[in-house]
Formats: sequence, C-alpha cells, structure tokens
Amino acid sequence: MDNDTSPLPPDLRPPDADAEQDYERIWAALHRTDEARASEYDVDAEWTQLADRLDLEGDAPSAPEKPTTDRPARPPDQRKDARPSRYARRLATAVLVLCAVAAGAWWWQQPVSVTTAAGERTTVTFPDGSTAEVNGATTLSYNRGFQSFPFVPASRRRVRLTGEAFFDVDNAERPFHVVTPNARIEVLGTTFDVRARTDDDTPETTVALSSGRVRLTPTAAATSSRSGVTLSETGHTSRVVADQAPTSPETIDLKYARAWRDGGFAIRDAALPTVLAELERRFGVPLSFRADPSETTPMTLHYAAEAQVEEVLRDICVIQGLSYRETSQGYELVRD
Amino acid sequence: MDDAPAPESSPGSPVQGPASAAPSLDVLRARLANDDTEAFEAIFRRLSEPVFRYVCGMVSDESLAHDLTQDTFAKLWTARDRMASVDSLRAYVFRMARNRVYNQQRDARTRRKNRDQLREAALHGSPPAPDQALDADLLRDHLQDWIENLPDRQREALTLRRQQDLGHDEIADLMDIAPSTVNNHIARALKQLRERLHEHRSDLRS
Repeated sequence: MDNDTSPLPPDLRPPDADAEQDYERIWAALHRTDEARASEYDVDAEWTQLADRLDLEGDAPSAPEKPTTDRPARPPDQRKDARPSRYARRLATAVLVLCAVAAGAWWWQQPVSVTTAAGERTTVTFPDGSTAEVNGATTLSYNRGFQSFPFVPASRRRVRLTGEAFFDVDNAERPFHVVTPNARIEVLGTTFDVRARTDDDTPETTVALSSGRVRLTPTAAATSSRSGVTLSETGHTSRVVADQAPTSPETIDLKYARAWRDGGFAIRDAALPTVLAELERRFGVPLSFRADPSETTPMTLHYAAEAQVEEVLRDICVIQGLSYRETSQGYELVRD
Repeated sequence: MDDAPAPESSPGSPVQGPASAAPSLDVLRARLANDDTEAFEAIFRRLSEPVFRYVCGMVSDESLAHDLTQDTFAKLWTARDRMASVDSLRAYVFRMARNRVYNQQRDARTRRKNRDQLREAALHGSPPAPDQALDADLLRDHLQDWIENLPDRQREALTLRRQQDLGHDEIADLMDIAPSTVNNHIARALKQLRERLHEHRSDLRS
C-alpha cells in the first residue's frame, strides 16, 4: 500500500496562500513519517508473534504461501529493467509450485474434528495414543496426526475444545495443549477434566485435575508464566472467566468432575439456569424455566451413575419448591 | 530556506481500497466469527499496519505501539464469537485500539509527566545548532516532538485523517464527535504546528 504522494486534502487548506505552503510541507513530512513506520512494520514477524501468543496453528505453515503477495508492488519507474519472458515464466512456475505446496499444506492443516450431540458421549483416541472421553454438545478438533506437515511432528500436540471432555494424556515429553475459546491448558502428563462453556457471551473454562500436572492460562495473556495457574494436586480445580486471570487452585471432591463419565450427573454450587443448561447438554432434552431465577438458590447435585433426567428434575423441584411437567419436546419447570 | 521537495500529486492517485481479488472485510468478519484462523490472519495482514500507525501517532513509543497493536488483535481473537453483531470490522478494530491507547495513557499519565519534565530540561539544555538546515528529515524529527505536545484530540484527529481507508464519518464516530469537529481539530493542530515551525525558523536565524 504505497502512496508516495499525498497532498493536503482540499478541505484542510488554510485561507491564505502563505500558510498553505507550510501546511503542505507539514502534511508531506507527516506522510513521510507514516511511510517510514509502515516500511519498518514487519507484518510477517508481527503475525508470527501474535499467532504464537494465541496458540493458533500455522506457526510455520502459513508463512510459505504468503511472502510473494505481501511484498509491496515495485514502483512503476523501476519496471523497465525487469527481464522479460524467460524470467517471468520461471517465476510463474515457481509460483505454481508454491501454490501446489500451499494447497497441500492447507489440506493437511484442516483439523480433524469430533462433535457430539447433546445427550451423547463418546471416546476419542488421538494419534499419539492419548484419549479423551467427550461429554454431550461438545466439539473437539486437532491437527491431522498431530503433525504440522506430513511426517513432521508438530512442536506441540494441540486440541481445541468447546464443551467438556476428560483427557488422559500419554507421553509428557511433547507439550500437549488444550485450547478453549478463552483459555489454554498446558499438560504436563496427566488426567484431567476440561469444561469450556460459552453461554451468556462470557466464555468460561473450568479444569479439574485427576493426576499429574497441568497449567491453565487465559488466551488473552501474553505469556503463561505471568498469568497462568498450575494445578498439581489431585482434585485441584481452577476456572478462567472471559479473559480474567484463573482462580487460584481449590480442592474439590473429584466425584463431581467424573460423574458424567459414569453416566451420572453432578454440579457444584450453581444457579438454577446453569444447572438446567448443563442438564440439557447431558441428556439432550430441552428444558424451560418459567419463573424468576432470582427466587431460586444455588445448588449442588450429585448422581454417581445412571441418572435419569426426570429423577434429577424431581429433586430440583423439591429443593427449589417448583414443579415440572412434560411438554411436547422436553420439560418445563414452573412455580406452583 | 530551501523548499522541501513538495511531492506533486499525480492525477489519479487516490485510488482507495485494497486489491479487488482479496475477500472483503465483511466476508472475513463473518468467517472470523466461525473461528477461521486464516480469516483472522488475513484481517491481521490487512489492518494491523494501519492500526500500528494510528497507535504510533498516539503513544509515540514504538515498542509500546507494537504491544498495543498486538493486544488489540489478541482481543479481537478472543471476542471473535461476537463478530456476528459487528457492523464495520475496521471501525470495531480501531475502536478497540483506541480503548487500549486511552487506558494506557491513563495509566501512564504520571510517568509521562515525569518524562515531559525531562524533555523540557533537555530542550533547554541544547538549543538547536545553527548549522541545522531545515531539511526534510529534521523537520520530521522536530515534528514528532511538536506533535507529542499537541492536545490528545488534535493529535488523534490528525493521525486518523492520514489513514487511507478511514472515512470522515468513521473518524467522527470513532472519536465520538461531529464530523465537522474533526476538521476543526485538524485545522487547530496544523495551525499550531505551523507556529512551531515559524518559531523554529526564527531560532535558526538568530
């Protein structure tokens, strides 16, 4: 984007001609400053830095397909001495080869994705033998073969998660990251549960550790050393809300984190709308609530195994003084 | 006093907008809302340099400007699921950058006061050498100093007005002022800069 000439816009011209000359010079000098800054700005380097900070893929792969397009166009007056056709043909071939490589890299970069419907549960085995038990209404994706290019292992194994899953990670030597919409969990060889929710526009990620060690960092944080939190004891849990710092580790009874994996259902100290949203995900049944949520109290529930949605609803109604009835699709909770 | 080579404007030069082949910002915005990292990269490549220049104009410390630019786009990435309801991506990004600049300035106000005192001392300590010709580069260096001493709003209007892709109304909207006020700010800024230029010239002569 080079405009080497940029006259003073007409609407800024001063009334007298003497001042106009000065204004033009000031404007031209300002423009040179802009250009100097623009030419010093290395967009490739800046992008690499940002991509690394946000843990996006393409640390290496996106670089090869771009450089040709990002060089500023050669100014017209230098074009005369460009060598004609043979050079151009070679260049075209090179560009074609680059494109083919880029297309291959692009295909390879397309992540493998696993999505569960509400009420569904499944187990995913990753290319390195690590596994994840996946709860309902969850999407999980990772790079083909955990490789950045065919046959080139990626520097870290990275799994994106929205929803909830329990990870069992093998081989701690290569970093294993779980990336949620607002946080990053660095795994140091271990088993742990991640719940990444995006209700109410405020993403929230909760991690509960079963064994080993993990590190939780908000995505927006520049480095994990400053604003992350390390979980190292069984039952340690921490939560990242939006881009705030993680809560300091708190020890919970792991039965709450593992109930869903045994077919049960559990939730700790949650408001009723949150409980209902979790129940919808767990059982795949739409639930509606027709009363003022502020009249309900936070609640803790635990069903170790084989929970039925009606059983849970019945208990909720007893606790909150509500009643439920079946609707055409699901259930509805009302105040008597 | 020799004239700086005032560049002539070639007749058809102010061609606006990026190459037609590239997807529009609006398309990229929609793709960004779907977690598309390639769209995010394209947005970054399109907007980060203009944002950087704007931030540079406001904070006048380049490494800080780099950081604030990075922060702006990091925030854009974390807020990507809200992109569906955004009207103009460019305006949105500039607004985020602006918030960062102003927050930063609020935090650094005391620090800047100290620095200003230092600079004041430095200026008094070394008057301009007589053989400093008023050549283009020197003008540019001095301009930086003068611009830093402009009121924030004037400096901001002046900086934004030089962005190729920002329309007059977008600037007014970003700064929360009427479109006509934008030019008032710029006119006042240019007037002040010219006064400094004259002072500087008479310093050189004396």
